[in-house]
Amino acid sequence: MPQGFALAAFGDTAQVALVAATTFLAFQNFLGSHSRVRIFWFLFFTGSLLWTVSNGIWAVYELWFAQPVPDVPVVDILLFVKVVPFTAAITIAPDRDQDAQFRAFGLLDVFILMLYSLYLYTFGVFAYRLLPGAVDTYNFYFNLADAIGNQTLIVVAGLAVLRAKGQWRGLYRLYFFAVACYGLASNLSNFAIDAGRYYTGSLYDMPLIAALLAFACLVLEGRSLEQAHPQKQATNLSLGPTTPTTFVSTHLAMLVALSTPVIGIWLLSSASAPPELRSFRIGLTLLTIFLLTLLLSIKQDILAAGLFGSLQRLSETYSSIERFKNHLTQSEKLASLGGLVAQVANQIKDCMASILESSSRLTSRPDTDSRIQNMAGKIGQYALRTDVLVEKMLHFAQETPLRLAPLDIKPVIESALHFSRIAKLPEVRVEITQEGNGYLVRGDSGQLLHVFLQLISNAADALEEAGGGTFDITIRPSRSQLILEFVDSGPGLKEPQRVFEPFYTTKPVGKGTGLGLSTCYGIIQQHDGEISCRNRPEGGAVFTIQLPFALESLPENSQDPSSLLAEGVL
Amino acid sequence: MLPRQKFYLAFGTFVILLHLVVAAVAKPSFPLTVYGDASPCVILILGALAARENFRRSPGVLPLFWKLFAGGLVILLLSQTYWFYYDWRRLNASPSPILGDSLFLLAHVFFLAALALRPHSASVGRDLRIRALDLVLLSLWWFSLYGYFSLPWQVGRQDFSHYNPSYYSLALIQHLVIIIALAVLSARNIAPWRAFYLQLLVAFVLIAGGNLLLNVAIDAGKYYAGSYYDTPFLLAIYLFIPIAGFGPTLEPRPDSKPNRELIQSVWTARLAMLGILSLPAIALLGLTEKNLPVDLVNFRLRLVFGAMLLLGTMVYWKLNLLARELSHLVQLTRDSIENLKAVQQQVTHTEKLIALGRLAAGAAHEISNPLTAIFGYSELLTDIPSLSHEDRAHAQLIQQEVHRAQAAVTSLRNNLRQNSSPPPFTIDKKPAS
Repeated sequence: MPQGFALAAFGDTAQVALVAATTFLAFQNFLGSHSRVRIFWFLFFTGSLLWTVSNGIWAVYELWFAQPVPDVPVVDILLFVKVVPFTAAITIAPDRDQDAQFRAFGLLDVFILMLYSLYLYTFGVFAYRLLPGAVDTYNFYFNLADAIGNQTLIVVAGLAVLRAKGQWRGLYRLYFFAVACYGLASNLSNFAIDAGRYYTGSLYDMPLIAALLAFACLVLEGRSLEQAHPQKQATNLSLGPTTPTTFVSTHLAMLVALSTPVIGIWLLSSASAPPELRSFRIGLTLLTIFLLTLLLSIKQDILAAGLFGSLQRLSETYSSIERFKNHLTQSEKLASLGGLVAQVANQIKDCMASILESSSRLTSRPDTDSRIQNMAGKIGQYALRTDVLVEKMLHFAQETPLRLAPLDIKPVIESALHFSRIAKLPEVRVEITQEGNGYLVRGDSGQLLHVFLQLISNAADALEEAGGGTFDITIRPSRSQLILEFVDSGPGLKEPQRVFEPFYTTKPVGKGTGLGLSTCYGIIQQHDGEISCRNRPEGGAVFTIQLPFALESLPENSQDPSSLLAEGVL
Repeated sequence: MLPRQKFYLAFGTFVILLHLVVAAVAKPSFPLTVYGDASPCVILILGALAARENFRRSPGVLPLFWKLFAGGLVILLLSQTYWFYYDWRRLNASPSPILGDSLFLLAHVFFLAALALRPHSASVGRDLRIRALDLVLLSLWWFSLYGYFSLPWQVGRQDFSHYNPSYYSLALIQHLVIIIALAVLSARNIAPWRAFYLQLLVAFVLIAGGNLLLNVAIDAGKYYAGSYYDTPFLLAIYLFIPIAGFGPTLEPRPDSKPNRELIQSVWTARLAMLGILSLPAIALLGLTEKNLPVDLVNFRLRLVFGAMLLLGTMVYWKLNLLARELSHLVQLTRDSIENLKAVQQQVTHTEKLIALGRLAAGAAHEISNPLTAIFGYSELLTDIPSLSHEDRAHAQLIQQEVHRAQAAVTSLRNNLRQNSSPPPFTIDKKPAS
């Protein structure tokens, strides 16, 4: 195509359209992403927006004001400045996960570096714009700065390719290709413009078009990346901020900030520059120092806030530890009673073992009389039943780690009811209803038994206080969870929102420890479940437990004690 | 008040009375000038000595407080000695005020630092180093202001018409800051701290007023050393002696509100940053000012850049300290959470043992019933006459074991009945058989 208005119009429109599309897509990516990746797309979007604006202005000047190769300072500034967010986008390392607090931290460093590069550009390049007749110097420095900016971006992108893994690596590779093309295009066109051979739509634009296409591909690629990169942080429970690693960028940002007053002193002592250039630069340096100090103040405040929070968390933890320790010494006596029970249970188990042995001797003899056989069998049965009961209690008392296994919940509730005094209270009606059958949850029967015993015992207290009433237990499935509801018709909870707090108790001093329900809360949490409570409008308390379904099916010969209980041994 | 402090006070009172008498009778002369310059020096020495008595006797952060306090007095003394030296050597050809004035400002920085320690509070923070850094930052900033506004009028030229107003206003601002701080401190505290801060307040009001009076009188040409114009300043520094006498009665006490110290240190840090931020802003505003000599503008700019470099380095250091402190704290928090988890686990276990006691009470008859049944069947067995000798032995063994188990259950029941006070368990009263 010959050089002319049509070609220029085509070339400009194509470039602006491409870069505008990239900007739009990057904005979409920004909206659809989160945490670090979001910042990445934000910076990318900023860079491409600056690019769009500069290209747009260029096109307007070229097509509207019919100025071939327009010379507009704003375009130059935007063109240079856009490199900064593009570089920053990679520097924040979106492929790495980091804590929110230190994310803000790294971002501040990036801002400082961005500000500094802007300062250097204005200081070293743009200042010559203000001098009359320094266009050549300006062009020279502009090309130099542009080249340095582009080379830095290429190097940073290259390093990112080497460092990153997986999907991000592909993305960075595209990034690297795009910026390399762009660097080539920029050098080529600057050279061509200076040589007076450049016109829009010429062959010199080819690498630029390639770079633009690569950028567009990159943003499109980023869309699929977003879906494959689910929120990792949400699932892993963090106790606090991770240890801040001292980044190179942190120190770099600080050194850069410190270099500004040095530049200022140098400016004052060197008198070679023209006076208006000098005063412009001094003012610029002061302004930059001001802005950098502002950013550093924000950084300091973030750190101070972190310290403040950490100190508070620390003192909270210390006081809870104190309270728990205090509680441990207070409940020593009651706990020793539990220890005694365990001891007695072991003794009974010994007795049962020897009875079982004797009875099996008696039954195993073929020549004995059927009456003896019969009675010895009965003795064996009873001894086994006692043994299972005692075993159950011991299992409950043991300090065993959580053993999650597929479990039918109803028998566990039934045995809890069995142990409890609630059924023996006068005027109390207890009912269990189950919707559907055979729902298994993943649980530790001993631990869950503890939870149910606690809830039932609370209900018993409430109903005793009310002088009778009903206690309904409902088991019903929801989409992915089994829901258990314990509803009593007692007086209800005084402060439902505080019930699970440690050491919260409404019972008289010496009776409740205030830890029963908070222990339940802990156990249900360990089961990946939820426990909550509320008061019914018609009176009485409702405790709701949600437990996730077990994915595996119940093994045929389960050794779970609760299943033995369910078989009617008790 | 300690015996030595009483002696210093008596000596100081004598000097003050002598001054009043001399000021009434003496005419301006060289000996009077020397005398007038010497008496504040004597009182300041007495004040510093009185404060020194408190160094070793006080708890907590108080020794540091008294050291800063005495340091402020010594620097005031140096500033006074400077004037004394000039007058004594009769170097009347308008001495440069830079050294004396900056020492005067520095002395007040020491007083402010002493107050910033919050000597009345028993909670001494772990971040003393960071706060000290903040205070140094603030003082450097303060001297940069002096260097920016006042100093250029004295360096290379002796322009008192520009130097004096700016210096006076800086000194006045400094005094006002101290006075406001003291007013707040005395309002927030109770005796004996309130009385202590109130006396300091009076002393500083006198210093501020006396200083202003002195400067106005000097500028009006009415001042001569040893006159009544000296009285307020002398009285103010004389007051420091009884204030130091408070020392032995002062004790730090816990803060009325938690975290006040932390909040204060956060605000000190913010103030320091605000101060640093103000320097380039002032310089930028200064650039718009026309008709200033070039060397003065250059001096100011050099000063601001130099100060920013120094302050920036300190901020860098401080940020590093903060980051290290933070990571240390985060580690501590994590450790203590681990600790908490372990204790919680222990508590869970104890809870289970307690629940077991409750459960056992409920289950006691569940155990007793089958035991009774076993006993019954074994008795039936022994009743069978055809039972072999060996089988009978088995049956008797079973009976023995049942007895043992029954005894264990009974003892458990008795224990439960005795130990559960108030009894959280219901014990089945039904006979086992």
